Amino acid sequence: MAVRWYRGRTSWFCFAASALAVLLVALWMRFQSHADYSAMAADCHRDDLVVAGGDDVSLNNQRRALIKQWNTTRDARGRPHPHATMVEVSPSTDLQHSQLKAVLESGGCGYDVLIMDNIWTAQFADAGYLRPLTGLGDLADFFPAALRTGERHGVRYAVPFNLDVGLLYYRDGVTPPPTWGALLAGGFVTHLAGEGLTVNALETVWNEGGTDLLTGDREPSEQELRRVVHPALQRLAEQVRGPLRDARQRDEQAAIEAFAGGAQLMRNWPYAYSALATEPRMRGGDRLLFAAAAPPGRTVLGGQNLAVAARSPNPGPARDLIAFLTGTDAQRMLFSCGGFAPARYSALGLSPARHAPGDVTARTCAQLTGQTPARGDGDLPRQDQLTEFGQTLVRALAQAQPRPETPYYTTFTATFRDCVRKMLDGPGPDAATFAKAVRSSLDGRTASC
Amino acid sequence: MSAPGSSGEQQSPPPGEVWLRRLMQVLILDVCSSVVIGLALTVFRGTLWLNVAGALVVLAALTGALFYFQPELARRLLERAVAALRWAGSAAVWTLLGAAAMTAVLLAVLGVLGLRDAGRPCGQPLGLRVLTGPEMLTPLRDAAAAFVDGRRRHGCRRYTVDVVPEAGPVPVYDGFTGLWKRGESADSRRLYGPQPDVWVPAAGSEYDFVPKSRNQAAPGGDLRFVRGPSLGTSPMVLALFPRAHRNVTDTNAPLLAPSIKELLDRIARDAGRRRGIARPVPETSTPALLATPALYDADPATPPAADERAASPGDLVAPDAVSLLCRFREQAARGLDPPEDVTVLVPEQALYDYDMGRPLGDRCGPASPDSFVSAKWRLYPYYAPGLPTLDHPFVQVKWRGQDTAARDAAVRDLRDWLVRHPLTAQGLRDDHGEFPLQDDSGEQRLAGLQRLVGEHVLPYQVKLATPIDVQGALDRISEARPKVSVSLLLDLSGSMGGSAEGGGSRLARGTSFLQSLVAQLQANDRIELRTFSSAAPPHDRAAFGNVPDDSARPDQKALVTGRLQALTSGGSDRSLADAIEDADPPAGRRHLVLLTDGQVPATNPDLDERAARLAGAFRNKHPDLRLTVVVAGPAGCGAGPARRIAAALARRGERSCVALTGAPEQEQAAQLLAGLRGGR
Repeated sequence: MAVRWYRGRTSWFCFAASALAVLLVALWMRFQSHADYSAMAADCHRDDLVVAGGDDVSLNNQRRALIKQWNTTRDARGRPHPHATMVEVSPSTDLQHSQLKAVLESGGCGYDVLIMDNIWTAQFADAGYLRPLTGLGDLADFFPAALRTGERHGVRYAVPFNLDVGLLYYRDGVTPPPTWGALLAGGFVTHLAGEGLTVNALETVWNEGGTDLLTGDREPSEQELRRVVHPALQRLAEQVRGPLRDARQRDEQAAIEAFAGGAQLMRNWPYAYSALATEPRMRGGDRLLFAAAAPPGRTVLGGQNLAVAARSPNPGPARDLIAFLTGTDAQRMLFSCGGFAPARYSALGLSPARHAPGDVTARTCAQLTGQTPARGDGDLPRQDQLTEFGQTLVRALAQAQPRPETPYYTTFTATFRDCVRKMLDGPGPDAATFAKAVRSSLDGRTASC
Repeated sequence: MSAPGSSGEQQSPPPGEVWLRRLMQVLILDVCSSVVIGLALTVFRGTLWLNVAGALVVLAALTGALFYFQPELARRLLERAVAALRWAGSAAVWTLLGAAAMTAVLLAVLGVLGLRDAGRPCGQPLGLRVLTGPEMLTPLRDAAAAFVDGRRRHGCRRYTVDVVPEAGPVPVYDGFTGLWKRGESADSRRLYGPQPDVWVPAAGSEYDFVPKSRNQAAPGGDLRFVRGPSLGTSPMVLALFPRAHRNVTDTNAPLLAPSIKELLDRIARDAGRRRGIARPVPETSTPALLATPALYDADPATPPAADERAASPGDLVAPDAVSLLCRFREQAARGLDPPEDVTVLVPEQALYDYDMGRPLGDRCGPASPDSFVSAKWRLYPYYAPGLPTLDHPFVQVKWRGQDTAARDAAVRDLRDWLVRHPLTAQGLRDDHGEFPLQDDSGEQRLAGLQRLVGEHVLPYQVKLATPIDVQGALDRISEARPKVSVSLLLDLSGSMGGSAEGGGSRLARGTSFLQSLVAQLQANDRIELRTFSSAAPPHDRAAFGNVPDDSARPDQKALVTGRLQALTSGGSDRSLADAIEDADPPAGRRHLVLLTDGQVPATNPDLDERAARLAGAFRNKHPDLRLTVVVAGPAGCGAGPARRIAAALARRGERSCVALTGAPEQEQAAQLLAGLRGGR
């Protein structure tokens, strides 16, 4: 008699039990390694504040001076401020990013206030590394374009600490070109090494018909990348093989040196102004032998923001410290003493209602600190020079726009630079390949031209 | 034979068929049982087939005996066993079906999730921070890029890897001991860069040098190391430029010289006059540090001090091997001729990168290996026992507060990748000191170097030579080197807050340079720090910023670097001559390093008269004092009070004024310190 092996409770029991066992084993394998891991957790019970960012490259170590001022003063109720320490990771922006991201993605509580490049806001906010920033009072005094770089999906996560905006430096006797085309054709000293290539390439795109592409949170389509961005970069490539040839290997410092060495025009950031002002070759006594102007067209808005880390054990005091560092007094010091472009209207004597360049007033570092400049003190610009420089900044800010707001900015800029580099070196990728690669990179997918 | 519980009404089969059926059943039972028993026995000892065969023999004998002596019992047992097997077989089939069905369901779910993920934006890759010597930057970055690319899912990166250089064995020691703090004051703290998740030191002895007292042995420790396998080996080599090589090479001589002395003697005899051995600064280059005692021991008749002088040609001081090799590339690009009278001591892997035209760390980009210029400047390696082998262990570093399961898994993933994709593809040798002639991709790696330098140059195998321990090497170098007593005199006037070349303020640039200088001092050197401005007279030892003179032990160095970190500029100029005279350095042979932005004539009145006084009365009081003015401002050494004061106290043949440039501060500090030790 044949055994009816295909029916009976035993069969179904074995079937179900083995299926369940496989499911349990799979779930165990999925979660066991994480559950069993014994991590070295930090002790988050501390009252002091830790501010993490890059090396303090401001003149007179102005950032450190502000931290020291916070530590030695009291709040509105007369209580001492919680002690703050500024942690300087590295002069390199990439390495600052590496350290901050590693601490934040580990869920560490080691940092309270973050000094971040303004393009990191999207990435850090989407990843949950930042705490929404509220209670800072009226933000209208901040330059609007800079303020927007601290928002993500309508939520504020950061406020600007200092700005960067492209400026056109020119020697005495030189008339800056009135149009972008004339500037490109005539040549100028710039920096195409590293992130400088992304910046200059983006400015080319914006000024060659792609004003609203690869900026802010608007994502370009492949068609736009193919039809507008790729041709604009081809025109840049023609100039780089010609008048901009020497810029390929230059960084910002090398560009400053080239300009001080005799070049007529230079595109660089605001900090170059103070560097040149103290350069003997660029001074005739008290008179500066150069000036700065807003570039003839759109320019990149850079800068650094302040945010509170999501796992900060002291979010309230951290916010208070941010309010202090971005307050009008601190911003004036950063501008006049530190050589940084300020983030607030009031630092330049302006207001949200009155902010024409002609309304700018600035005070020198000596006037702000009350210390009479002694002989041999730093060759800081005079008040009229600072005021003129402030007016230039305001004009340039009106033409500045941010780089793409994407949580995958590092992927984007690496891909974009790779593609542009190939176009500068030779025929480069065709428009379709370029468009596909850049579009993918904006979603974090690595692609190559 | 019938199933259990059956009615027994069936017709009986023929006896022959019954016996055949029983025989088959017994055989199947015995064989299956033997396999199970054999497997169980094999866990403990023996080989599988022997255990199975033995069990089968025993079971067959037992079964046969049972059927012979107790046939009825045997028949009943067999019937029950067969019934049980039928049931078990059915259960097994349904069990397998259930497992297969669930597996299929799970695979389908994974497939659906995968399709979903393919269309979604990428998540954030987990960032790994890797620290290694400058010589290993190029190979590790290439390997890391392959790892990141190989681990992509649906085009999304799962990881990013940043590979950064270490500053040398002593700064690494200080870094791990001090939780990566380079300098600290009340309000600020400077790090050595990102805290590494992975450290690939040059050799296990460098790993052993770092104290582990804060690691896993101590509960509540802040730092833990987990040492992994070697990622590849690279022997140190002595290398010659082409003309010297043509004179020295001998196809009859063994590729591995009998000893370092024999090799050096042969080079001296056949290649002509030698100016010295170009070796990176030991305090900033672990490979150079570990190789130096081998040079001392090469010829016992020569005192180490003489060997040390020979190992430091003044124009070839470099903090690491890639800086040294980059200098050769730069000189080659300028159309100069190579220094044929110099022997170069570098790791074989760094020489591979140089000759093959690969980028050299952060210092210089690629070059064409087949160009005329590259051929003219090609380096040819020579090997000798005693020159240490670098074994590059993989070390996981866990930091309190940054230690997570995900990060741990990522590091182990990287480690496993590097083990499966060895760095023999990047110019290193394997654990046995051999290099593969050709790897799976058909690429010739170190063998490619062989094509460039010729057949009779690279030995196929270089036996591993364990390096001396780092502390032992430091002690030996310290004994051989001239000691220095350094007084740092730092200008804190307001103008030091001005802009410096390279960015930042002059004070920041200057203090960073001085921190690099202090880091390179040895324990039997001496160091003190004085500051000056109108508000800070240098002779006031109690003034903040001043650190009294003492041996350059770790605690003294930490005190000095901490004070340097805390200083801010302020006050007006104190004239350079006043600052020097007020400093009143200790008696004896001493180096005074004055760091300033150069100041202006207006704040240095009566400059000629003051300079004359320095050259006269002050010099008479301090006959052994040597002044070096380091200028961090735009004036440089070309003009102004700095130049005048430096000239007043300069001694013949010594460089008395140095201007900080855009070159890495570690390199500039190494050059200055080498000059101080060598009296240049």
